[in-house]
Amino acid sequence: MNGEVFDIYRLSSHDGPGLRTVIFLKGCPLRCKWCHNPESFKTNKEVWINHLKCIKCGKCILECPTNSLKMVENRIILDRESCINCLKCSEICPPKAITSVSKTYSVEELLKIIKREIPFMEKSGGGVTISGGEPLLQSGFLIELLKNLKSLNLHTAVDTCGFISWDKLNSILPYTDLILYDLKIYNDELHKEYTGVSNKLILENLKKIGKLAEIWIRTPLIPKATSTKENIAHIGQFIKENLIDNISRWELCAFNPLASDKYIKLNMSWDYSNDNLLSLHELNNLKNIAIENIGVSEKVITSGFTSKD
Amino acid sequence: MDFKYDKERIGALIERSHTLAVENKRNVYVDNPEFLVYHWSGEAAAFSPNTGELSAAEDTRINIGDHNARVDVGGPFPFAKEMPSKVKGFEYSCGNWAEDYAFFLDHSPAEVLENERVVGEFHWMLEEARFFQYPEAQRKLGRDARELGAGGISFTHTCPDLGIGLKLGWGGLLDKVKANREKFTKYGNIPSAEYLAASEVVLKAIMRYVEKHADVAKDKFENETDTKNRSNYDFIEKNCRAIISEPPKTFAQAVQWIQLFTTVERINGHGNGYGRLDQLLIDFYRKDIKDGILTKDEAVSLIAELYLKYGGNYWSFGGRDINSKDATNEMSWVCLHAYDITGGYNHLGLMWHEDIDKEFFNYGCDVLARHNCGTPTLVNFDVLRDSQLRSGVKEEDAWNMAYSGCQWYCVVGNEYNDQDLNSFVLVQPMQKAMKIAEDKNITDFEEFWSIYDTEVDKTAEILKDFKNETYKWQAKVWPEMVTSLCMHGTIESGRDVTDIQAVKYNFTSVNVLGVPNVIDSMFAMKKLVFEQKKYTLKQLIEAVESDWESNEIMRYDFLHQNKFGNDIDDVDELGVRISEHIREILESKRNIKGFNFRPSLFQYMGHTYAGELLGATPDGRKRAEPFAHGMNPMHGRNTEGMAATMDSFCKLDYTKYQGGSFQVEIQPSFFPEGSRKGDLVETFAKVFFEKGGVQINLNTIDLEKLKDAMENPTKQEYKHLVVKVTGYSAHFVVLDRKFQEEFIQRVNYASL
Repeated sequence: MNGEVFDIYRLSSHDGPGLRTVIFLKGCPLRCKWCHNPESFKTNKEVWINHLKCIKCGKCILECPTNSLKMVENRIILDRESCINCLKCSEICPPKAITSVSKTYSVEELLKIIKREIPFMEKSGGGVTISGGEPLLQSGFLIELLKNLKSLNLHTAVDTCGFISWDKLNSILPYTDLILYDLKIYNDELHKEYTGVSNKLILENLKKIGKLAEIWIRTPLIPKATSTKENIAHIGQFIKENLIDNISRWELCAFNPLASDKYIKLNMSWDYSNDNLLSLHELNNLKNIAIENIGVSEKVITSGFTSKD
Repeated sequence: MDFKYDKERIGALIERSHTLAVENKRNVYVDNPEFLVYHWSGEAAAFSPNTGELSAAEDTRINIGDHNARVDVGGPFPFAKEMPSKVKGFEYSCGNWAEDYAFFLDHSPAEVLENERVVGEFHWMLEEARFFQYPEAQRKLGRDARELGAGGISFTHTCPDLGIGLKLGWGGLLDKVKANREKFTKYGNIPSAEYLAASEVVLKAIMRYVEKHADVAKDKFENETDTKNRSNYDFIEKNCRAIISEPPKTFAQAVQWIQLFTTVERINGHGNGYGRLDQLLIDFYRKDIKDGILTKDEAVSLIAELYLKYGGNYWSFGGRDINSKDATNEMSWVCLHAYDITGGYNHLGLMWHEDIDKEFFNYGCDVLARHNCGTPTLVNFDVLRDSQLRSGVKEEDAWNMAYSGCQWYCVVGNEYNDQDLNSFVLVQPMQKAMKIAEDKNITDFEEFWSIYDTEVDKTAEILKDFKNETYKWQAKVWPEMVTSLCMHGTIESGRDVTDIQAVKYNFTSVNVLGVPNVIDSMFAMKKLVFEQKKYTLKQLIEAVESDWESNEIMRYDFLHQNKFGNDIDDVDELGVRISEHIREILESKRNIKGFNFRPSLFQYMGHTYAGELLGATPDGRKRAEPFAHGMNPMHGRNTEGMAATMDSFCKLDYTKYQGGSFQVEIQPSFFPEGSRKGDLVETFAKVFFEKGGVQINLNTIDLEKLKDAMENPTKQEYKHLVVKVTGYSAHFVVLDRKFQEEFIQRVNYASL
C-alpha cells in the first residue's frame, strides 16, 4: 500500500516524547489561514517552484504536455488550472527548481527510513509521529503503517486536526500510543472564518477520544486569530470541564512567519508574511491564562520562537 | 552543582582569559593558505612564528584561532639579537639549540599575576628568536611533494608522560640525565653524551626559571598590603620553591609543577597533549584529602586555574585502566567540575567506553550541552585503543591512551607520530588521473581507477621521501628537549624524542583532505562519463577548469548524482573503496624510523582555503566553495537526516584509521522547552559510538547570532561566544573571516 508523503522530519524533538521520525501525509480538510504547510492542502501530487534556483533554461516549457508553463518577465509561471500534475517538468529541471511537493512511499520504504532511527528512539524514549495535513485522509495507509510500527514495538503518535469521522479516528486507536490533537479556536464562527470548517465535530471527537487515549492538545498561537486571551481561556475551560484528567499536556505553539517561501513556491498569497513573533512576555501571559483556566500548571508548556522583549 | 570557591578571584581570571582571546593576544598563525591545505608553507618550518625574522607579514598570515598558550604583549622578543646562536654562531646541533633555549628562558619574565594561585605564562616562543628552517634539500622535496598534493611539518603534537616528571621532579630528572651521560661517556657514545650534556643545560635553566617565580612571588608578597593577595603570593612562593628541585609533594604543588612544565615546554614549540589528568593527579588528590590539607572544592578551583592559565589544554578523562576496567575516579569528576565553573574555551576530552561510570558520562554530556563550547570532546576509547593495537602497538602500552589533540590520540610518553601535521590532498592525484585518462582515451572506470591508483601512489611516495629527509635533520634542526625529559626511553638512550629510535612508536600520521569530494566526484564520473557516456572526460575537464562557466546544466547533472552521507549503498561503497585504498597505499610506505604511514580521515581547516587552490571538482562543486570538512559529507549534501549520515560515516572501520571526527551542528530550537539537553547529546553520542564512531564534535549554533557576530564582533555579548571549529574550539569573533563563513555554511540539523 502506498501513501503520499510531503515531508519527513528526522529525529524531531518537538512532536511527541523523545526523538522521533515524523511522517507528514498530504491532504487536509481544513484551510487554516495561517497554515505553515500549504503544500499539504491537496491530496494529489503537484509541483512547486523555487524561483531562486531557476536558471531560466526553459527545458520545462518544452517538456510540458499542456503548455502550462511560460516565461514571463524572466520568471517561470505555472498555470495551475491547466496543469495536469504529470510532474514531467520536475523530472527534467536541471537545478531542481521545479520539484514535486510530495513523494509516494510504500509502507516498506518508510519503515526502512524509520528503522535507521530506532537506536535514537530507544535511547531517548521516542518513536514515530504521523502528521499532516490530516493523516486520517489517508486512513488505510495510516493504519497499515501504524500496525507495522507497533509490530516493531515502537511508540506511535498521530497528529490530527480532529475534523474526521469518529469511526476513522476510532479505528487507529488500537495502534496509537499518543494523539496530538489540534484545538485552534473555541468560538465556532471564528473557527469557520479562519479554518473554513465548523469545530463541532472536532470538539465532539475530542471529548470521546479523551477517554480512550493519551492526548496532547496543541494550540497554535496565531496573531489576532487564536492568540487572544478569550480564546485561550475558553479552550482552557473546555479542557477543564471535559478532559483534564485525560490529557497529559497542552502545548501552546508560538507562531512564526517562516512559511512565506512555501506560499511563493505555490504561487499563493499569505496574509501572515509580515507578522511578528510573539514576545516572550506575551507568550508567558497566554501561558498564565491557560494555567489559570485549566488549573494545572505542569500540563501547560510552550514552544516555538519568540522575539526579545 | 554548587561549588565553594572564590568566585570573585576565579571570575576575574575567567574574564582575563576571554579578554586575552578577543583582543587577539592568543592567536596561532599560519603563513598562508598553502599551509592550511598542505600543512607546509615553504616558508616557516612549523606554524608561523608570531614575531621575528621568520614570521609572515600581518596582511597575509591566517589566524587559525585563539588556541595559543602564548600571551601576546606586543613586539618581538627583546633580547632576540643577543641570542647565543646569533652572537657566537648558529649550528644545527642540540648543544647550540640548548644554549639558545637557556638564554631565552633566562631572559623570559616570571609572571606572577594578581588573583592567581597557579603561575606560569610566556610571551614569546623560541622560534621567534632562533633560526628554524631546514636545509634546501629538504625544502626542495617539500615543493615537489606539494606539486603532487602532499606536505607536512614535523613538530611537537605528541603526548609526554608527565608522571615521569611528577615522580622525579626537576632535580631527579637532572640526576637521571647525569647518570646516563656518565654511562655514555664511559662507553664512548659521544652523540648521546653530548645530547645529555645539552639536556643538563636545559634542565638547569628550567630550575632557575622555577626559582625565579618563587623569588618574584616573594618580592610581591613583601610589597603587598592586601591580606588576600599576600596569602596568594605566599602560596605561590612556597609551592614554586618546593618544586625547584624536589618532586611535588602536595596536590597544589603537582598542579603548579604541571603548569610550569607546560610553560617551559610550549615556549619552544606548539601544542602537545598532556595526557590523562585524572590519572596523573589521583594519588596526590587522595593523599591530601586523607591528610586533611585539601578539600574537593579547593582541588576544583586549582584545576580551573590550570585550565585558564594554559588557554585550552588537551587533557583527557575517563577511559580504561591497565586491566581494562573503567578508569574514572574522583579526580575525573574534579576535572569536569573545574570546567563546569570556567566554561568557555577548552579542549578537554571525555573518553567513553561501554563500562564507563554512567553518571560521569551523563554529567559530561550535560556540561557539553550547557556550556555549548564543544567541551568536553566525546571520544570512543575502545576504538582509539583498537586502532593502536591493529597498527602494532603492544597491549601493555595501548591501554594508556589519551585524547591529545584536535582528533588525535597518543600512547602516553611512548610515541612521536607527526599527529595532525602532514596533509595528503586526495583531490590532486584524482585531477592528475583525469588528465592522463583523457590523453589515453580511457573509457572504462576500472582502467581509470588503475591510473588513479598509480597517481595516489606517486603522491604517497614523494610524501614519504619528504618526510624521511625531514627525519634525517629534525633532531639537529629543532630538538624537543623539554618534551624528551618526560618520554620513556629518551634519556635512557640519550636521544631526542624527534630522533630515530628514541621512543617506541614512530608512525607517520597523515591527514587526508577532500575524501568526500573525491568520493562524490568519482561516483559522478563513473555514472555520467564511464557508464552512461553522457559526457566525455575532455568535456568534463574543460568544464571544471572553467569553473563550470557556460556549463551550468552539466554541473547540475554532476551535482545531482548520489552523494556520500545519505546511506545510499552504491556511492557509500565507492566511499569505502576510496578510503581503504588511500589507507592501504599509505600503510605500504615506511619511514626511516621503521614505521608505516597511517591515514587520518580528518584535516582541520584546509578545506576552507583549498577551493581557490584546487579549482572546481567533478562533484559539481564550484571553485569558491569550501571542500568537505574531514570525512563529513560536503556541506548541504546530506539530505536524509543525521541518522543516515551517521550510517554512511560508520560504514568505515575506524579502528583502521587514526581518527575521523563527526561534526554535528544543531540549532538551539532543536531542544524543546524543559528538556535536558545533555540527555539528547548523550543519545547522539552513544548511538554514534555503538556504531563504531570515534569522535563527535557538537555545536549548538544560533545562525542569526553568528551572522550578527560577524558584522558586530565588538558587541559585549559576543565576547564569550565560543565554537568548536574543528577538533579545537575558538572564540568566534577572532576567527579568520573565511573560517567564519564556512562555519555558517555547515549543515544545520534544524530537522535532524
